[in-house]
Amino acid sequence: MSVMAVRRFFAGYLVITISGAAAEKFMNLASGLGFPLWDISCGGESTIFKTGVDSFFELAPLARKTGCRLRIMRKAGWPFFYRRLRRRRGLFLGAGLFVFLLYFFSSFILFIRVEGAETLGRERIMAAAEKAGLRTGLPKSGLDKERLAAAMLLLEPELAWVGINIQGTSLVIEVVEKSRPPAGDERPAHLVAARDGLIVDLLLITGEPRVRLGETVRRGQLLIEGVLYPGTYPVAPLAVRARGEVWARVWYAGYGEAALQEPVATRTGRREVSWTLVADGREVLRLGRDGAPFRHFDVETGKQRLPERIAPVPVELITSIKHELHLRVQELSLEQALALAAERAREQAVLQLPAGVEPRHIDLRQITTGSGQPVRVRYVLETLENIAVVQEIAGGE
Amino acid sequence: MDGKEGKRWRRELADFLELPREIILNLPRLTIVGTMQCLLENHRGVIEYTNEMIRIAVAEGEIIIRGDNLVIRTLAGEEIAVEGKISSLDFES
Repeated sequence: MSVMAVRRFFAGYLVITISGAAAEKFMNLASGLGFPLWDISCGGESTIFKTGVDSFFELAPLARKTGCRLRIMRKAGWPFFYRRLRRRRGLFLGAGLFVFLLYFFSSFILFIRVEGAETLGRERIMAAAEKAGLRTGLPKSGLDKERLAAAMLLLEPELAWVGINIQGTSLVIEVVEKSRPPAGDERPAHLVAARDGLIVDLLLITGEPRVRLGETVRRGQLLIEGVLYPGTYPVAPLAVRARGEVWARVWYAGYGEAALQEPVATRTGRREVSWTLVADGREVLRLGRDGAPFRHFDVETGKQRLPERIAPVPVELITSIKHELHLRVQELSLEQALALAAERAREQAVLQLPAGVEPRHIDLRQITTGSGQPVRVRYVLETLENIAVVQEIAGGE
Repeated sequence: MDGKEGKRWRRELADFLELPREIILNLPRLTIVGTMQCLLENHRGVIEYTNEMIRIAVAEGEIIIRGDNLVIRTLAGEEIAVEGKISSLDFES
């Protein structure tokens, strides 16, 4: 809409039909005298045009002069609309009331929604919300969301967090429930040694200690008995779940040896690849040479499994690569042999180490052998661990 | 004779001063947008108007616009804007 059209709308305009032979003459005269005409269209016998409200009374004598008849078809624009509006006050009031009511009712909470309730259930959270003073029909303004959320947290101890949001006319209570650790196992049990070790520290929470500091224990030995003795009272001993920590020095030993003349295998680079297709546990297809293609070789295999959503039975492609090896004997110096043996012993020892445990002390000892014999090494890792593990008491005490 | 002489003189003046000729020579100026709109300035009035044809008087004759559903969008003192499906424009003197 152009600026001109807006101006015309607010000033108000008339839609006029003009009939008569000299309509063109009338239009020329009118526009020549400075009365703007617009949207002139021809409708059969008569011509329709629009003109400003003020122009009409000036135009009427012109029409008479040119022998034309003017007839107002429609009055349009803001002034006429406003007059109609004033005449139909009820409509105007109704429209106003509608907007007001819409605004008024949208300023209340009409719905309450709960999100994030998994185990507690909506009813329980709604009950807490009601107790905190939250209900439908409250005005949105003046609602202290933070205070309500805090009150709900206090009222419902199973909630970890509460957030209150307003979305239109609905109020959303977002909750996060407390996740509790599973209830402690209360069945009677002993604590026994997980591995051999020397007790260095003992923290007793429940039960009767059955070892002393400095004592060497074997794996499976009873450390803390899950029984409470009543002392001097004449009551039967009570079976409980022993609790505590028993810290012990634990040793892990590895053994390695290395001859002064070590056979060394190196891959020559020649290789033979074969593929095997296995479906449902049975070999279906094999590609490549079978058997032993080289005198010395090692085999590297890889598996690829077809996703089960594609194949109805498990299908696997096994790729095996046989690398040819070249064997030769390597002469080692005593130091080299020692280092090799130590490395092998270390690997063995470290393999036994439980996850997450760091060795505190490392002891490396060469086992004396005669000359010409392989070098032998003992590698001992010492750790400090809590060796107490739970052992249920079968059928109670 | 005087008119003819005067006209030549005015054209030369317009060329010399690089003034728009339509002002000096009192000629109509036509602006056409595709076949849908035609703006004519410096006219002398509408001679005939129907849906299919509009004849407009200009300084030296008339301009005839033919087409379909022709509507005079504005008609003011010196300016006339015609809209519709314009099929031809003729100059007659």
